[in-house]
This record gives sequence, C-alpha cells and structure tokens, in this order.
Amino acid sequence: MVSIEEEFSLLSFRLSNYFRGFLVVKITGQTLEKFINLCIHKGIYLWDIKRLEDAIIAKIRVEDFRTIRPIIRRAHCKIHLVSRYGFPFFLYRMRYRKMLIAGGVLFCVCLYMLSSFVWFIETVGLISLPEEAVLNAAKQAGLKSGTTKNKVDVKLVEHTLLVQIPEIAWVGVTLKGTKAVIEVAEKTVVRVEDKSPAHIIAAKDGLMEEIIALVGEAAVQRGEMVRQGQLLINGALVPKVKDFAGNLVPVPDSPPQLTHAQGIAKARIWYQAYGESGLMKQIDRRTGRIFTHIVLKVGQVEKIIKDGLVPFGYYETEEAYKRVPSWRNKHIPVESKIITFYEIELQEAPLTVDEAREEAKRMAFEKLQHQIPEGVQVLNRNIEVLKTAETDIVRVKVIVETLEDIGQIQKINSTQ
Amino acid sequence: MTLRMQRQRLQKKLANLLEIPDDIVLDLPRITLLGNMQMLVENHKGIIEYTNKNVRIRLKRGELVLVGVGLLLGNLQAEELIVEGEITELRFVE
Repeated sequence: MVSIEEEFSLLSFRLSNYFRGFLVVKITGQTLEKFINLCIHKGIYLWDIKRLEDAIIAKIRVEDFRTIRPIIRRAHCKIHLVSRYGFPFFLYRMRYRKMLIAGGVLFCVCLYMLSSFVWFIETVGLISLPEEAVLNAAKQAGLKSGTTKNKVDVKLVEHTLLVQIPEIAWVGVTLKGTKAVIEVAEKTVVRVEDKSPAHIIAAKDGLMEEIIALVGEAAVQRGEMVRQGQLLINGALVPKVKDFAGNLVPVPDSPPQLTHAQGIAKARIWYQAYGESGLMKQIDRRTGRIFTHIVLKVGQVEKIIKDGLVPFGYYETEEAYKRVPSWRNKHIPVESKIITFYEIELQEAPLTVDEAREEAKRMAFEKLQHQIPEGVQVLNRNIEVLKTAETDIVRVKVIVETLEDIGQIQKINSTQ
Repeated sequence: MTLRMQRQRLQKKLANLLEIPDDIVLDLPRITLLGNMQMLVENHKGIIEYTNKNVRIRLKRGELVLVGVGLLLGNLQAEELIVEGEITELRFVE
C-alpha cells in the first residue's frame, strides 16, 4: 500500500542520497541494539540495516559519519567503512580521469557546434520545377549545407527565390534543427497550345464513322474506307470563292492558308485473329510433392537458409514474402522469401469438339488482346468456326470490330 | 495499576469526546503490515533486540516481538521504523 506520495518521497530520498553521498558501514560489538537506539535518539538516520552473526551492516549519510564516533565509543562497538556511494565520491574518482571529463566536455561542445549549422536542405511542394534550380537559387542567397544557422537570412532567401524563379508563387523557408525546409507553391502556368500548321491523318486502316473538322477541312467523308497515313483533315486551306452557279471553287494561284487542324475522326476498325486446337489437350496437374527454398533477407543482405537442387522434372514455382509488420512509421527491414516448387505431371486429356472450340477461341482472343488498344469501344464480336478437311483439329477465326479515334497529327513542312 | 487503568479510561473518553484518534492521546504505536513482507511501526520507543530471525521493539507499554526469516531494518528513524523480510509471527508482550 505505497501511495504515490510515498513513492515520490522514496525517489527523492534516493536522489538526495545519491547527490549527498552515503557510506556502507559495518559495526561490530556486543551491544548493537544499544547502538541502534542511541542512533535513533540522536537523530542519526540509518537504513537498510542487515544483521550478520556478530555485526550489522547499515547505510549512513556522509555527514553523520563524524557524529557517529562518540556513539560508537559509548556503545563499545567498532565501526568499519565497507564502501562509499554517491555523486561526491564519483567526482572524487573522476579527479584522476581528467581525459574522460575532457572528452565529455568536448562531446557536448561538438554537438552544440554541429547543431548550429544547416546540414540538410529539403524542398517541399515542387511539381514541375527541378529541385536543383531551387537549391541553386537558395545557395546564392546564402542557404547551403554547411553554413551556420544565424548567417541564414530567411527573409532574404525567400525573396531571392521569388525573384529568381518566376514560376514560384509563394515560398517559405523554415529551419528545423539542422535541416532547412524550403516550401514552394508553384504557379499554374497555362499550357501553350501547339499552333504550328498540321494535318490530321489516319493512324490505322478503317471505315470512317464520324468526321468533324473543328479547324481545317475534312478530306474524307463518313462511310469512306481510309488507309493508314491517309489525310483526314486538311490543315492547308486553299481560299475558295463562289462562282456564278453558287458552287465553291478554289481561287487560282493563291497560296494555301496553313492552320493547325483539329477535329474528331472516328472509324470502325476490324481486328482478326485465328485460333486452333487439337482434340487432345495437355494438362498440368500438381502431384502434391513440394520442395522449398527459404531465404532470409536483412536489409540488403540475403542469407540462404535452405536451398538445393529441385528434385522434379517438371515443376511450377510460387514465391511468398513474409515480413515483420512495421510499427508506427518504422519499417523493420527483415523479410523472408519462401519459394515453393510444386511437382507437376503432364497428362493428355481428350477434348470434345465444343471444348476444343472454346480453347481455340481463347487462343484467338489472347492474340487479339495485344492488338486492340485498351479502353476502346467494342462494337461487335464475330466468331467463325472454319470448316476444314481435317477432323482432329478445330480452327476459329475471331473478328472484333471497334470504334476508335484514328486521328494523328502530322506537321506540315513550311517548305512544301 | 488501577489508577493507571482509570486514567487510561478517562483519556479514552476524552479522546472520544474531542474526536481525536486514540493513538495520539494514548501514545499507542500505529502498525501497518504489508502482507508478511513489510511492517511499518510508527511511534516506537527503540529496539531491544535485533537479529535475522528476531526483532523486539519497545513500545510505550510492553514490547512487540517479531519472528521471521531474513529480517532487515529498512528505515530507522525516531518516529518510525520499517522491518522487511518474511514475517512469521507477531506478538505483544506486556
């Protein structure tokens, strides 16, 4: 039942004992109880008293050691000093270890001096600006790694950065310990549009489905087949006038007006692929026998715990990583890699015609996947089973129809 | 003897009347035990005997005999005293 107050007083008691120093003494004699009572009476504080056969060992304050002498004499006892504890005695011992103290002082001085420099410069908030540009500008204003902190004029650095780099809208410099943080907010610069004269040409073969010229003149019409590289929207406009009948005719001998063609050019595009499958299929089946390698990785060092030659002819591998869960923001760089080898058996299984067709289809679609760009609108899928003379093979042709914008910008050479 | 008992009874009545704790008026020891491992005695009158197995503490009237194993005097002051160790027996002797 030690209350907080008592606990605290115990701590302060120990602390004060340490700083004032205390002695461990051994008192021998016949009338030790008398000695203890006399000590209580005189207000000499003893603690941690331990009884031996014919002696007691007790702790006593340094200043009481002098006043204890007459009591010892009165109780007909003898006193021996066993050991000394506390800060005063520590200092006393330290007198002979001047270099240790000098080292301690030197350490403190070094730490203080090193902490008064800027060692690291960090930039926050950069999006398109290169970090070096900001750091160079900061260097010119006097902020670089290795300068003393009180020489860095934060206001001046901020001002210089703002003046030197026009892309910066706001900048804030803060010194945190030995690190300077340059916080930058960049201006959003309006992107300059490309105005150079250009045509729009077809990137792929296809059937034009939609052609809208925003700038320039449409060179093809809806429903027209186009070849790759064909002009779709003309950026070189020939001035035209109306003739008497009301038709537009080009003005003879006038140079074409060059523009940067813009517009939408959507076309239907067909992709096709073949797939085939025999009526037998190889199946990989795991036999259930496994073999493992274990690698332990600490930091960059890899330590192989278990490896060896894989005793299977055909096998599949799986890798699994296990790492120590990170605690707060600290990542513990220890992980283990377990590679498991599964033995497999190759078996041949007969396929029905339907299954073979599915297999062939799957193969064809797999081939198509490399050709069709991602995210395009698929209009139609056509699967056609090809009739062949062979009976043990199924061939499939797959045609996928998509709608894509096939417009591609092609610059007009001014010399042309 | 009777005179002393009468006086003690009177003091006790007075203490009850004034609502003063008995231990102050009667000069009794206040003993706090922490299980069998620590004993705090306040208002003791000194030590009669102290060994590893035996501690006898003088009280105003009689003595307190402690029997145990590996007894230590933890804190020795004019007002209070702490005995640490394994206490097996506690006895008041007139």
